[in-house]
Amino acid sequence: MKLKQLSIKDSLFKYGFYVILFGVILFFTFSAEYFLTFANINSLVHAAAPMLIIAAGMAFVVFTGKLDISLGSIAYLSTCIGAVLMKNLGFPPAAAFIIVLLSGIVLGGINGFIIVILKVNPLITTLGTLTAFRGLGLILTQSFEIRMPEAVRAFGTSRILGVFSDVWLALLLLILLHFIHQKAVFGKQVTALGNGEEVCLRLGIRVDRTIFLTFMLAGFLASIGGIVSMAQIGQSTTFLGKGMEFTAVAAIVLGGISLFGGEGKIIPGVLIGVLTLELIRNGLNHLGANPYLYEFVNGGIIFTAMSADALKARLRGQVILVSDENT
Amino acid sequence: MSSTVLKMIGIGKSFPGVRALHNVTFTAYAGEAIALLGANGAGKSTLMNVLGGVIRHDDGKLEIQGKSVEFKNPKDAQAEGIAFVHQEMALLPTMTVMDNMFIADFPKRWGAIINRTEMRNQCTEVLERLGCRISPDNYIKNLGTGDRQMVEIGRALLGNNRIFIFDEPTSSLTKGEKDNLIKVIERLKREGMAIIYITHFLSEVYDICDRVCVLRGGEVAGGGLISEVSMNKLVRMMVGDVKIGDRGSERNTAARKPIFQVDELNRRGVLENINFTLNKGEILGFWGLLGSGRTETARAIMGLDTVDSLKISTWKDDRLTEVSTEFVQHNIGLITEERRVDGLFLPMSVSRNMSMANLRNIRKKHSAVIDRKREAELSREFTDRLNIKITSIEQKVETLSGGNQQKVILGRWLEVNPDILIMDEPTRGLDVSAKAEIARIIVRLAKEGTSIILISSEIEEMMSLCDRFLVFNKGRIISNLEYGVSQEELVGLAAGTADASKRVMA
Repeated sequence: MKLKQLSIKDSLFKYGFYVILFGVILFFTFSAEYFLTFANINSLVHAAAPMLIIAAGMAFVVFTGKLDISLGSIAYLSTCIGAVLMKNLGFPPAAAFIIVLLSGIVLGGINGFIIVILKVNPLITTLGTLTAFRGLGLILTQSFEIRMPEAVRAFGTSRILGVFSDVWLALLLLILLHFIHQKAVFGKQVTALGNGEEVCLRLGIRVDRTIFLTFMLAGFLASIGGIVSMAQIGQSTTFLGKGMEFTAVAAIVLGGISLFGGEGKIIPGVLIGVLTLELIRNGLNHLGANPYLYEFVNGGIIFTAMSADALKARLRGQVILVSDENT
Repeated sequence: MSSTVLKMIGIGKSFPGVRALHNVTFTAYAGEAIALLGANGAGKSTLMNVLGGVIRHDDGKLEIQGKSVEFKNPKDAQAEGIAFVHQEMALLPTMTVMDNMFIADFPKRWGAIINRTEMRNQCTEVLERLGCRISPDNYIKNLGTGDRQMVEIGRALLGNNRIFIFDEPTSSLTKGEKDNLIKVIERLKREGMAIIYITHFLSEVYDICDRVCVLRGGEVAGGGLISEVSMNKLVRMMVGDVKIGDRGSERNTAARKPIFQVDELNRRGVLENINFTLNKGEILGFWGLLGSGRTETARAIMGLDTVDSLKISTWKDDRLTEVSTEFVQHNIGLITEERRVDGLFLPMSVSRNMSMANLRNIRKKHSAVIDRKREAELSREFTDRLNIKITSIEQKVETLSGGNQQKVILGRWLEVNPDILIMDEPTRGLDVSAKAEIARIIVRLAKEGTSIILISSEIEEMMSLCDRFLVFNKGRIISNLEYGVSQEELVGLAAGTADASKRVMA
């Protein structure tokens, strides 16, 4: 029975990500003493909050079958703008942050413009802006670290019901984005794009507009992630957002969102992916492992998850064939 | 009895150098299905593209329910209730049936949120109308071809459509799915819709349609109530009494010497037990409809598709030796159907394109460096021999005409000089004089001893060139015919009228 075999494989792909997450938790619970305590888990999700938000933006881009590797730089440049406004021009934090969010949208829009209007490959486009945006940020701050006002620092460490405020913010955003992806016209169009732009054009979907909006949304979320990250650190550092885009891609694939587009969900996908990576980092810390080991383990996980994704895409083709023959 | 829904009167359309349609009058009635038949290039697609608003006609007029209409673009046609069910489906595999039907126009709440209740209700209703038992929540990727097509038809039913054009809807369906489609069309007819049905399978016409209209060379060749036209008469209308150019005495019928043999080629669902032998200097025609297995067989031989079983052997000194796919790829030339996509390196020069299969032989001595002088010499030799019209061998291939492009591909293989050449639709899209020139080259090659497998949809070309025909039908070879067979017989066999063979699956 070919069909049965495939469904076993299918479910393995479907639930494999939970197996990994559960395995990671189990491993560290037994090997690291203070791993499974409220305080540790609370600080763990706190650390993961910026990544949850940025990865959700990345997920939308990936749903369309594309990548945006400039998100870390967008987070950096947009917060630099805010920091400079606060420090040099005396903007109140609220006003500065509104401008940060607007910058995020504009920077995402620049990506969208280059991709949609100038027809440049998304990966190449964002590879360019990855460097360009960070460069602009460095010029703007003259690569100095800018300290945040007390109010901002307070937000970074504030708690609601014992849990850090930014975790609540991240969860709220994820729920909202999940809803948009699943129930709104825009979300469906984004998923449709991941199935092939040619087909979407024939179906009368406004392809260019949807791609443009997706990159703006990703930029917007990157700037929120940047603010959260900056508030946590208490200052704008030159390292803010660095490498985040790649961790985001890894988290997404780990969460079962296909890089080929059109498949996966914000919840639980992004949540599982980001938390798994953060659990590993945190657990290795607790074990007193060499901090560079995390980089290596991270790379291995990305590689494994991507091979699984590619394998899944190959199997998908087979599933169609088998069901064709059986009808 | 029934009212006229669509009238196309005296439609004429010319493209540069070709008169695609001339004075075509076509009528469709409510509650009836009309078959639109014709050979390739007869004008079916052009006529339907006029109706779909894709192209504009030069002469004549369109009337829908007695009202004169003019279509500037496909949207105008859709607004008049014309729905096209394309052969090539536009579906999104990772999304549900429901999403697929409504993706272009979701029922909305508050401007941006999908009204799922409304969507589900409408979708269920349409699926019921189609007598389709799939759930709206199924993912397309888990559906078979037949169900996928139902989704495509369902999408057309959502609007207020009155005229349904089906373009070869059964070419990839199994028997059961086909029966279901026929039921659905019956249902649409009962609901008062007008159906236009395009197909190559003549037997279907009798199952489904009430009327028939046959086009040939851009003109109406005949038609009427299907109950009054016999199948043989239909075939004659499609083929006409065209004078066939003949190779005559040049034909290779002398003592045949086999050089190549294919045994037990099987590919589940596509090809079933293909066996044949190719003789030296022979032009062997693979004849059949699109999807009948002719191109698929060629691809399988070249190792381009994975197959379940295949044995390829060559005759050498009267001994049969099995050979590997690698051997085949080095010793058989393939001229593909889509020359611009699969055959040519468009931005590269004529010279580079021609040397591409022969690079191993034009290396400088004891090195891996290509001898550009030798490359140029060979290119010049073959552009002369094939009479390719170029300004220089450095001219980019993309700037050449279709005929000259095809000759560049021929030249590429002539440089290698293989014993066997497979040509898939070598003259498609070429004008008459280029076609004739390619045909002359094919004949000359055969005379020089090259064995050729020729695949073409154009009956006249096949009749005039081939020594022998293998007729493909639904993945099997159903006949092996010698030169001299009648056109009617060939068309009949391919369309499945002469022999109602078992359906394997296209």
